[in-house]
Amino acid sequence: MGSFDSMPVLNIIAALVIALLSGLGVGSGGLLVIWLTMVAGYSQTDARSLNLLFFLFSAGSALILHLMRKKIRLSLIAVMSIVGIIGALFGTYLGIVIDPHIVRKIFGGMLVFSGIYTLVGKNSISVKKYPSPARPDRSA
Amino acid sequence: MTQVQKSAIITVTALAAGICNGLLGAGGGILLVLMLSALYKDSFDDGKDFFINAQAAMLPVTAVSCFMYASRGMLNTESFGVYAIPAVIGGILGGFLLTKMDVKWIKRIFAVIVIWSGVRMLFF
Repeated sequence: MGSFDSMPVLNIIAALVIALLSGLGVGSGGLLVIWLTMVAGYSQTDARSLNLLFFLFSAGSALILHLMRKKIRLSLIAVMSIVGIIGALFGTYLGIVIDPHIVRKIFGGMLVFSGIYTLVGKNSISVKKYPSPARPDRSA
Repeated sequence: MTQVQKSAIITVTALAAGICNGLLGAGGGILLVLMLSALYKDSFDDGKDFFINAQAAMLPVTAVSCFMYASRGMLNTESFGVYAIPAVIGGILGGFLLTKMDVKWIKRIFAVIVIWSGVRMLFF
């Protein structure tokens, strides 16, 4: 396996594409972990932690744009983040006391099902469209 | 649906999203997108807002996970510098593209990535 510095151009292109997906808000499906382990020669642990750091940079910079466009619901996000952090701490502990292998398989199956539903479901991930208010009659 | 029921669903899903990130290292944001799109069909202006808000909520969760890796000496930042600039540029481009793209395409890309993540968890 080559080192990270052996293919700077390829690494930069891969990073740009993965960050673009991350900035789109759709995630990257762990593509960076695969790239780092299979191409750049990183260990699985190093790749996972770098993937997290990478997300902070890519999603964080996209978030600045969305904040400027006032697309963020801060109160909702605060609740989800605080509860999510508690969950993440608990999940890390769970990873020590149980084998995540089975959970990974079950969750993987759920994701495949959710993805197919999102792809074929007519009303998945959509907002309700209401008719715009009738234009006031200015002829009178 | 009452406000109490809505709050309970948000809390349980956010907890599950955090657990997924802590335990499996992925999948939390997917749960939030699906939950937001189910609960806020009426009050969000655009389907893209589900992705934006889920991403924003996962950022502090990821920061804590990252901090935990670092505190255990498991964060190797030695050559991350080469990645940092493409991460920022790609992130900004992605955020800008999100505002321009039709939500049905974002939904399709999201679905493919969700299926890919699931297959990866099942078989790899």
